[in-house]
Amino acid sequence: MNEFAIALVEWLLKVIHAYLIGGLIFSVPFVIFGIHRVDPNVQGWSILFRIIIMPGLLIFWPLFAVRLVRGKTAPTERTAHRVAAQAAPQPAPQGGGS
Amino acid sequence: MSVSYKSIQWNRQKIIYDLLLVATIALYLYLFVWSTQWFGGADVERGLRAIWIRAYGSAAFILLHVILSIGPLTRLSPKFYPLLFNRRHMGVVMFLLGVQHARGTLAWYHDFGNLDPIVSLLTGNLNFGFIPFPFELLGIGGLLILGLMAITSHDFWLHNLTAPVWKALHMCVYLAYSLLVGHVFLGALQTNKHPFLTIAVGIGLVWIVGVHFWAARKEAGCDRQTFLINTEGFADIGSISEIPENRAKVVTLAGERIAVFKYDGKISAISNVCQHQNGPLGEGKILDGCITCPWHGYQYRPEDGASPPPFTEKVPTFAVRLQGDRIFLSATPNLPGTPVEPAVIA
Amino acid sequence: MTTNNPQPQDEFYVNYLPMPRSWSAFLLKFLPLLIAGVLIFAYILPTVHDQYNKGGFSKRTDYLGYLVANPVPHLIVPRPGNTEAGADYSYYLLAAGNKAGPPKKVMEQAGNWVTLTGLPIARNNLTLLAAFKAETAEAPEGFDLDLKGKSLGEFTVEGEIVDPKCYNGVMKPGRTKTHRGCAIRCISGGIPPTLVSHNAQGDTIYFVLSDLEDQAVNDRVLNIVGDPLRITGEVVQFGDTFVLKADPETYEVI
Repeated sequence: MNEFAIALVEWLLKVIHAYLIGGLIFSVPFVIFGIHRVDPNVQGWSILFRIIIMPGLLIFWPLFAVRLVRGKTAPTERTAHRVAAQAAPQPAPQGGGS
Repeated sequence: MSVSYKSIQWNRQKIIYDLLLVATIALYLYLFVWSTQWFGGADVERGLRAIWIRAYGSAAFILLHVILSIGPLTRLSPKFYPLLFNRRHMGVVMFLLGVQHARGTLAWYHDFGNLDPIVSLLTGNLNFGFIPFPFELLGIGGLLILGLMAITSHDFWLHNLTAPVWKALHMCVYLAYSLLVGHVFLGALQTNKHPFLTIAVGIGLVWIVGVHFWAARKEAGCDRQTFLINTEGFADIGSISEIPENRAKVVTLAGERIAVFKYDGKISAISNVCQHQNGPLGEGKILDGCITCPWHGYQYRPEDGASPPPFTEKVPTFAVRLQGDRIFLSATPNLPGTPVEPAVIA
Repeated sequence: MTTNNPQPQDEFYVNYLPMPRSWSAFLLKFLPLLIAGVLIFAYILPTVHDQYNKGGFSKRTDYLGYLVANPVPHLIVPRPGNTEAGADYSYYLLAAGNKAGPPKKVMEQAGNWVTLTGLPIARNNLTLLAAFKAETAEAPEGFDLDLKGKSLGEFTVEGEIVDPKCYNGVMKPGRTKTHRGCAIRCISGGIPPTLVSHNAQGDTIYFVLSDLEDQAVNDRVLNIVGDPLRITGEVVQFGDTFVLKADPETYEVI
């Protein structure tokens, strides 16, 4: 048996475990108290919804921790047209057909 | 998504879809185990746990082929769209089959030994040559990707990760597929050298690659067009008569596709990319006065690219002018949700 | 604005609206074909899987035998009755109930006659006992204990190292690549590594592996378990069982 590989894998598993525990400690209060601030679309208190997003929160919790601290919500996607529209001088709402 | 999230937005077709999916898989697993016992009799009666590992693994692998085929098939014929809208549930079910396969393997092959089963799984075979390669690692890699996809499959994630990031994450299904082909090729196919298995996996691979190329070739035509932009910043993109009523012509301008819709004697243009899951709006249709995405039915008003209240999705709009039968389209997008007077067909 | 579809042939579908008739007609044909196509695999795949053999375990039994620790833990059990035709004893490999060699308490009695309680796990003529306990016993009368075996000379054999517990038992096929992880676990735990070889006639022959100093090779073969190997060494026969003595350094991966 490769003792080094075993030690490395055992250590890695501990790190992953700690990360997930951290996620659990953050996520449980977050889905109850904080989620409305980060995503205004979350309305009401559906428990099943919270359970469904829980596994993802255990992975992506730092993203929401940062947004919660900065008081931000989800950004809008960036597509080529959206970026170009941002860059372009915007005319007043204009008519076509002319 | 702009009204409150639901755990799952059930409707009749989704229920039928899920019932068919679950029933087929249950039947597959049952038949697999039954068939093994039928052929094996006493030889396999005590090894049922291994049979279940094979049943779950093969079911997941076959389902993955179905899942990966749906996308390109809808490019080839819209009649496959009814299979697409709930593909996420298929993906989650496929992931769960993979989990059962992995759990069974972990307990059956790696437990009751002198190491923690997961450590044993990860360190047992460290020969990284081609054929002896630890195929288990490829399976774990594929399963982790499918897991990430499954746990982010709710619209909450689509919104919070944004559609492009979410899509990029979910495009990793192709990486997962290649890892799993490797997993099967270096695993099951090394133990079972029956030509049927090798040929079946090979045909599966050729089919998946082939149907994607086929669909991509069909798509490529659209993106290859180039348009001359006149001094006013408008491009002649074609004639009114090309566009069927309530439908769109899709052209590529300003680095992305634009959907140019004809409806009620008017022409409007919006960015082709649905804000929900980046579906192709140009393959949608005007229903109840709104452009309706063919993927999940998200709707946008053609005049301003905004979803009707209470929804808040907005996509960029484009100015349109008509000269006789020709349609001239601005090459500069307006900010998402900017009202644009539709061009009226004389 | 219009709410009606002015072109009835212009079919469009979103999941919260009824499906166009021609689409549902298409799906009614396509889906049964797809589902049938998937189900065919459930029927065929098991038949092409290498998972049928007569290996397996029977009932827990008490064995009177002589317990030997080297090169691998084994029990020499005199065969009752007239044995003139064949060997007068059996050579049973030993393991524990899990993926490990026999319990310490059992092996402490190596070099003694014992009554060993074990679960026999057999495939073809290879038997391994999952040993649970052993108590010192009287030597049977009139049995000539042979610990040297009979040297058959030097041979080169090709085959694959398996752990005889899973290979003999319920893990079908219990060999080759997919079983490698499990076999590594078992062999590292102390289950005697055994070479499975096939002769030109397709008969299966087993060789218990030993190094030149009559010691177990477990820790030295972990990286080549399940690989096709070529081993040259002295074959020593104990009853019906062959022990292949060679330095693990000289094992060749084919």
